[in-house]
Amino acid sequence: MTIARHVKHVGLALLALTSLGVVQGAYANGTGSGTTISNQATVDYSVGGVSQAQITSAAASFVVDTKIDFTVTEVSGGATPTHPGQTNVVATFSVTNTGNSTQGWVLTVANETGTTLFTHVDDLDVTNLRTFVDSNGNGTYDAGTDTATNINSLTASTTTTGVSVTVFVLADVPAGATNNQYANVRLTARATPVGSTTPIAQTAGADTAGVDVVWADAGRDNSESAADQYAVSVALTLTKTAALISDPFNLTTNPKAIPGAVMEYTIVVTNSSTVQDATAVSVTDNIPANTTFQPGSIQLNGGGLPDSNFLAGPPARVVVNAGTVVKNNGTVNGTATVKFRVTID
Amino acid sequence: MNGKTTIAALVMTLMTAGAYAADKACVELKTSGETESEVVENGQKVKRLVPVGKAVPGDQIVWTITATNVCKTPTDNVVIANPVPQHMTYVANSAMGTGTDIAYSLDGKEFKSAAELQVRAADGTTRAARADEYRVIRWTFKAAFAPGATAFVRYRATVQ
Repeated sequence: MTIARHVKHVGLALLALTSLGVVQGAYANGTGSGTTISNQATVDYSVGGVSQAQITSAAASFVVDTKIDFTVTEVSGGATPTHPGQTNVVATFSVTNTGNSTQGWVLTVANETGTTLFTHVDDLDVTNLRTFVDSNGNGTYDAGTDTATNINSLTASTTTTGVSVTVFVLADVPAGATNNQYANVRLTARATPVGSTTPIAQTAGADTAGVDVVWADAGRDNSESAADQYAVSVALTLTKTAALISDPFNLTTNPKAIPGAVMEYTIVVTNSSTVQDATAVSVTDNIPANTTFQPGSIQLNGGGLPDSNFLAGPPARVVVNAGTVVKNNGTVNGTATVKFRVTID
Repeated sequence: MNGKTTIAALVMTLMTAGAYAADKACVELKTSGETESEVVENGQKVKRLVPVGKAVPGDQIVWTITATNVCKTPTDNVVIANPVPQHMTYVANSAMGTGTDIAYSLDGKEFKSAAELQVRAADGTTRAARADEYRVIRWTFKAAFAPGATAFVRYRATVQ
C-alpha cells in the first residue's frame, strides 16, 4: 500500500516536471498557434469592516493565431565558383521558420537580370535551374537522396533563432560562358499548409473564433528570397621557375649566376577545370633586363619551336601559342610547359 | 442617545454586513482583453481599444479589470489581483489604476512596489526584478467604493 502510494507520487512528480519543460519551451519560442490564453482576476474587499469572500471574474480568453514568419538566406556569403559547361553546380541556401506553427514551403528559383551581387554585375543566365531540400540535414547535396523540390514540413521555432533547413539550387553553366562572367539567381520561398505547394492565404477581415493566419514576414507578403551568384572562371594557373644551366668557368657543374651564365625559364600553364579544356592558350613572357635571349632555346612540351616565337620588341619577349590545355581528367590537371633560355649580360 | 441604543445600532450594522456576505457578492468583477488599433476619426489618426483581433506572438494585449459595487453599502479595502496569463509577459510600467497603490509579485505571495522588488540569485546577490519576471499584479484602492461606484485598472502584456 505504502509502496503503491509512493509510486503514484513519483509519477505525479514526473508529470509535473514534464509539463514544466513544455512551459519553458513555450517561453523560448513564440506561443504555439491555436493556444488559448485565458485571464481571470480576483478581488478582495470588506463591507462595514468585515472581509468578504474573494470574487473571481469570468475568464477572458483569446486564441493565439498562426504567425507566418520566415527568412531565406544565402549560406556561403560569397559567389559559387564554376567553369564553362559545368553541370549540376550547387548553390546553398537556408530557409528558417521563425513563426509559431509547422508549415510547408514552396520553392522557386530564377535567373536575375543585371543585378549586382558580391560586387559583380549579373551578365549570364544559367540553365536547368532546380531546387532540392537537404533531406538528411548534412548540409551537402546528395544526388538521389535529396530529392524533394519543396519543403514538405518545417516545425515551429523552438529557439529565438528559429528552425532551419538547407535548400540546394542546382544549375548548368553554358559551355559558351567565358572567364569572369557572373550569373545571379534568386531563390524564393512561400509558406504553404504542410505537404501543399499552394501558398497559405492570410485570413481576410476581422478576427474569427478559430485560428487565423497572419503574414508576419518582412513585407508581410508571404514571400522571402535570397540571391546567390555563379562566378565563371576557366581555371588556368601559371607558374614560372628559373634554373642555372651553365657558366663560362664552372660549365654545368654547380654553375653560378655570373655574366655569360645561361639561365633557363620554365613556365607551366595548369588547367584545373574538371569540365572544360582551355583552348587558344597563349603564353607571353618578357626577357628580363640585363639578359639576352638565347636563339634556338624555345620549347613547348619538350618540343623545339622556331625563333619566330621570340619578338625583339621592345619589350623583348617570348610569345608561344600553347594551343589546347586539356581539363583535369579526374586525377591530374592538364598542363602545357614552355621553356626558353637567356644568357646573363 | 444612551448606551443601549448605540450598542443596538452597532449590532444592526454587523448583522447587515453579515447578511450581505451571505446573500450575494457586493462587488462584480469583469476582465476583458483588447488590442490597440489605429483608426481614422474626423481625418485624424487616433488609437482606440478594440476587442482582441488576430493575435500572434509579439502582439500586445491590454487587459482591463472593472470592479463595481452592486450593494447599497460602501465597500472598502478593495484589492484586485491578476496573475499575468500563461504565455504572456507583462509590459514594463504599463499597470495603471486611478486611486490605487500598485504592487507586483514574483511568486503570488510577496507583493512589493516595482522599486522594491528584488530577485535573489543562487550566489546570494540580489538585483532589481525585471518587468518580464512579474507574475502577479495587485491594485489596492485607497478609498472605499460608494454604492454603484465603478473603477477599473489596466495593464499591458505581450503574447510570448
